[in-house]
Amino acid sequence: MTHSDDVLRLFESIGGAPDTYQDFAPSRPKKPAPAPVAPATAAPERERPPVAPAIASSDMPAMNDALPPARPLPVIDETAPVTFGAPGTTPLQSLFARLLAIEPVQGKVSDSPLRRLRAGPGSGAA
Amino acid sequence: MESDRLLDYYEAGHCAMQWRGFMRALAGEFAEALPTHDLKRLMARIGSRYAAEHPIDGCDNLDEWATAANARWQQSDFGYAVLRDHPQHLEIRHYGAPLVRAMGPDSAAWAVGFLEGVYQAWFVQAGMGTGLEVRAEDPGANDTGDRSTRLRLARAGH
Repeated sequence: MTHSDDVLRLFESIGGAPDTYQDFAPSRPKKPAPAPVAPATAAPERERPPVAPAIASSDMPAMNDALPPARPLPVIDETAPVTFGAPGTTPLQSLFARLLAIEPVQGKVSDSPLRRLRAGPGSGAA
Repeated sequence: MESDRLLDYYEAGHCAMQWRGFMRALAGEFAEALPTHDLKRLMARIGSRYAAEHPIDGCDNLDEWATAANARWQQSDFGYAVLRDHPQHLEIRHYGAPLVRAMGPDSAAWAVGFLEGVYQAWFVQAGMGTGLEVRAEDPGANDTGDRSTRLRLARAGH
């Protein structure tokens, strides 16, 4: 009984040996070599379906003429304050803005260490 | 039902045995060296660091954010969160956090600082500015007995 045998028995007792260990097993049978492949013969050419004649661009209706004129993109003022539901804000940002607009309710939550972190050490902020 | 999901979670994975004794000893040493509010502050800093190393980005709405957060928690085998948007605040219920289980029942008062730090930092990554903060609710407030850790995102108090 070798140390490797002990390790293998431990692995098997907890659900099987890892593949890497199996790779070292000497009694693993080798796969037979694949049979030689016969050289491919040229397949008979199939009949191809008839191809529709190409349509010249001049024959197409003038589709672009039927489209309405493109509207100019709205100009976003990035310096403007973000407001609840403003265009360009994500729902998550709108949620933050909404919560920020609500007065805090005192006495229901524990003392926050994050506030003290922002206030700095020894500030005594609670 | 969340309690069933919680039990399934505990059965599927728990604090690894080889770390349990170490974490208890670590927590005991912490508790002897620092007062509770400093321990909570330390855990929040650890949480912020964790969030920086496991970032969440590219989320436009709360559902996407919750999915991304829970994917991060699942990677670390750290439970999962359920979010509820209330008119006054965003409620976060974190189920299956192994903090107290790993660090011992005496750590309950300060170990929650880790979750505060993680969620705060993740919301900042999502674009949250100053003025809002994640705070753990007092354990006895509105206790529903579902064994979750309850936190809320709301405007910072004065």
